Amino acid sequence: MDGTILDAALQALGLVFSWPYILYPVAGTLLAMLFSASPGLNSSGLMALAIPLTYAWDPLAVMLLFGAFVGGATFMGSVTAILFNIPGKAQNAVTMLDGYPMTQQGQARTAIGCAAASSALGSTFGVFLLIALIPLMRAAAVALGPPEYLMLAVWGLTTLAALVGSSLVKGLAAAGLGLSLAMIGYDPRTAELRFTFGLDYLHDGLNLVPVFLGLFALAGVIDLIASGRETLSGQSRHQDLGGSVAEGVRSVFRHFGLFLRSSLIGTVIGAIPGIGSAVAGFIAYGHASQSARDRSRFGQGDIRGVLAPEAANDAKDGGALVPTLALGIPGGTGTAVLLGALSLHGLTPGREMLTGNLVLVFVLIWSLFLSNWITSLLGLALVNPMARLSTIRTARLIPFILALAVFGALQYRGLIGDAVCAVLFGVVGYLMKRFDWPRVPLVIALALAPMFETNLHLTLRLQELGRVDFWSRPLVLLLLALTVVSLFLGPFLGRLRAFRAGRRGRAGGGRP
Amino acid sequence: MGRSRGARRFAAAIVGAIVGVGGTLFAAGAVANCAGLQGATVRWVVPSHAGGGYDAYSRLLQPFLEQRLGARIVVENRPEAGGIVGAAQIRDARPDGATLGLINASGLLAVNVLEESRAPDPLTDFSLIGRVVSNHVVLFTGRDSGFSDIAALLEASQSRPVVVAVRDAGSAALFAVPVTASLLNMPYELVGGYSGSASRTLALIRGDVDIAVSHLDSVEGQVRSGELVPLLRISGPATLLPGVPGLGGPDGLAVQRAALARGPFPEAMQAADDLAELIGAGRIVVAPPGLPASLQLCLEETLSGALADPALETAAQRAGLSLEPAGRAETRAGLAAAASSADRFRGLIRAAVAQTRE
Repeated sequence: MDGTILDAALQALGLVFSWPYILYPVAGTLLAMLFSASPGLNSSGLMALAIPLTYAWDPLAVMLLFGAFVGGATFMGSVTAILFNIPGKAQNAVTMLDGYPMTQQGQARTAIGCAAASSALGSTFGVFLLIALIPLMRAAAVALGPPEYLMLAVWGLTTLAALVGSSLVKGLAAAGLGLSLAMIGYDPRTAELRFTFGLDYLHDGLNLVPVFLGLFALAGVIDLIASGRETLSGQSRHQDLGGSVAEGVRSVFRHFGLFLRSSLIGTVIGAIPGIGSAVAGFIAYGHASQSARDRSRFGQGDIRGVLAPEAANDAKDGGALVPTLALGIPGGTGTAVLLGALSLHGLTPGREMLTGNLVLVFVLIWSLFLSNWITSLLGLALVNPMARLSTIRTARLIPFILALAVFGALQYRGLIGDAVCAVLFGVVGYLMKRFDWPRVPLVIALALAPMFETNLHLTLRLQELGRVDFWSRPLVLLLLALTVVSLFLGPFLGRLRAFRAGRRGRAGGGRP
Repeated sequence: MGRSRGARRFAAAIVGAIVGVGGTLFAAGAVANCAGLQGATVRWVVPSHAGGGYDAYSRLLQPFLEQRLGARIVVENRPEAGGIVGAAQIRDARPDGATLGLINASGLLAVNVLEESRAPDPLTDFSLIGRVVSNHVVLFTGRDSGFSDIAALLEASQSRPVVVAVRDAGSAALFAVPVTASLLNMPYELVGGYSGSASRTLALIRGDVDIAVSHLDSVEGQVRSGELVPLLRISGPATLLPGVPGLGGPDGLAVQRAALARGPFPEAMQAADDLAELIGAGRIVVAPPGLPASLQLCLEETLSGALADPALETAAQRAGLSLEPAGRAETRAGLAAAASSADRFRGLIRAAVAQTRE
């Protein structure tokens, strides 16, 4: 990093922490948290509301406020995912796969502590990678193309192999079902309808949010009723809750390698425009389970299943700023609204901004950084009162969770069909759970299929026209190698370990 | 005893759940008239990705419409299938004001000339509220493409087809590219599936493709930063991009190329004008068909009031978004003229759609 960049970074840091500017990121974070915790609202809506109110502000204050809006929204949705199996947003959905089982085992505080720490540290990773990339930002923004996106999706899909659970056949069938369900609706390339059976609702395809809410939240409620448990955690008093925030925070450092890899996955996925926000968390989750020696606890309350998606979700924000700042191309809806706000203040992202307005760029980055930390620290402060909710009697909690789940499905797009979809998938989810069919491969396949399909078409066409050479792209080859390793090395090592254990067993058995 | 208490508790839970869910469903029930939109949530469908021109206009209008309607407007991006999915969602919603959207009228008109099209027809499948702006389309290349101007591109096209990034059926590029290419005698290959201006821009910057066609306001930032180079104004006035040649008009490139090939001048000029007419159908605010008359009138007044608001004009100017508002009657007349232009290009559109589906 050269002196200019370092000077700008330090100058911006001083500005962010100076009075009264510090008020902007703090207020922005609190507002973003409030919006993200309210069903049906989101930080993009908050930004849209704030744009006309900030016309007359100076660009520095605008950067501080909007940086906080981009960063302050992700964590709170994880809390409801962990406590009630209800994700605040699609991107929090994956956290509930292991977070909620932890709550059921009386480990809510550990799960939330881990989520808060990995979120804050994940965003730190994303932000520092973003800063390190500033001199190379344009090159980084254009380094990935359809072949790389395709291979990222393929790699993500191969992680399914690690999540198939007790039966390979059932796992593959669930993944196949997820891929088939993803085909419903308009073909993204040709606009032809597929598998809609004459239902208008299906023209749009199956939306992830109602499917998740049904498969996990509503199925969980049915299971809760059937189980006859008195409370979510199985405990009746707050002091009976096992786990601790400190233990959750420590777990991030215990699995630091996984944390780093998940944050890297989040940053890279964040930099790809138009990829749904849920994808980063799912790929990180798949990678966590695939790279683990003991996968048996995934989906049953493994803390690594909370750590990986949370780190990826927050690291994603830093990644999303790479194409935004380098080329003026938004990575997602939040950064799209941010771009609108910047253009209203005469700021054009790109080379000009990265040279002429570097201090402002750093103000935005530091504000994002600060807001992620404020969110996580506030989240940690709220852990105990929120964890108490898991000791409320089930009979009182069920109507609340049910209403919240159905309301969440309805509020997302205002479609009654989404509520019906959630209820249907609630029944499907319960039956899958009851008969030991894994649900995670289904949702991962559903989340990754659009990325796979679109980029498969693009890659084939560009290859046919000689515009890309799939086999000569280093990142493609790296991802291909990772895919092959994921598919074959994991099972091979597993068999090798089993063989060695068997040999030791036989040798031991031979002794008198 | 304990068992029956447990059963009662769960029965109470179920009753509570039904009341909770029922209450939620009731609360989500849609409103039936304009006054009823006060406090309601209005779903605003944008048939393109976040960050593009349609999204920018929608988010520009959002607070001004919210203020006038007293409703909360939720912008929803539905970019699939060239925006046909989003447009179909507006068409299929209840005509109660709770669903509105900003459609690409010219893209939908063009795809509707195909017999098998299931895309909504802007003339018959919506309640028209008004036009926000006419579209102006420009042909761009990337900074590092090696094509400094349109002449360099046309010269290169004689040795190999020009590779063009397009969205898919329903987008303006699918008729703008083949018509422009036929007028310029430029062989081309389409790459479909770039679902928004962001992905097309990246494709140009990376060099995956040679050119793309976009509305100027969708890529204004990249043009200002020098990442994209405008080569040709397919439609829009010369003041839009000084120094960049235009396709239409008596001294436009279409006529020049026709002269070069000893082709018929007037026909080339007419084709370029028809193309501009079709593109100019514009960004139109629509509601589902069958809107009650009082609601229709109220929404028209709300939109025209918002578009005439000096604060909105200032905001649009600062964001580099031009406004060319029109009421329902003018919008309908423009659509009818554009529809007949689209009909003229039927063969070219069909060939382009077939190429993206290969």
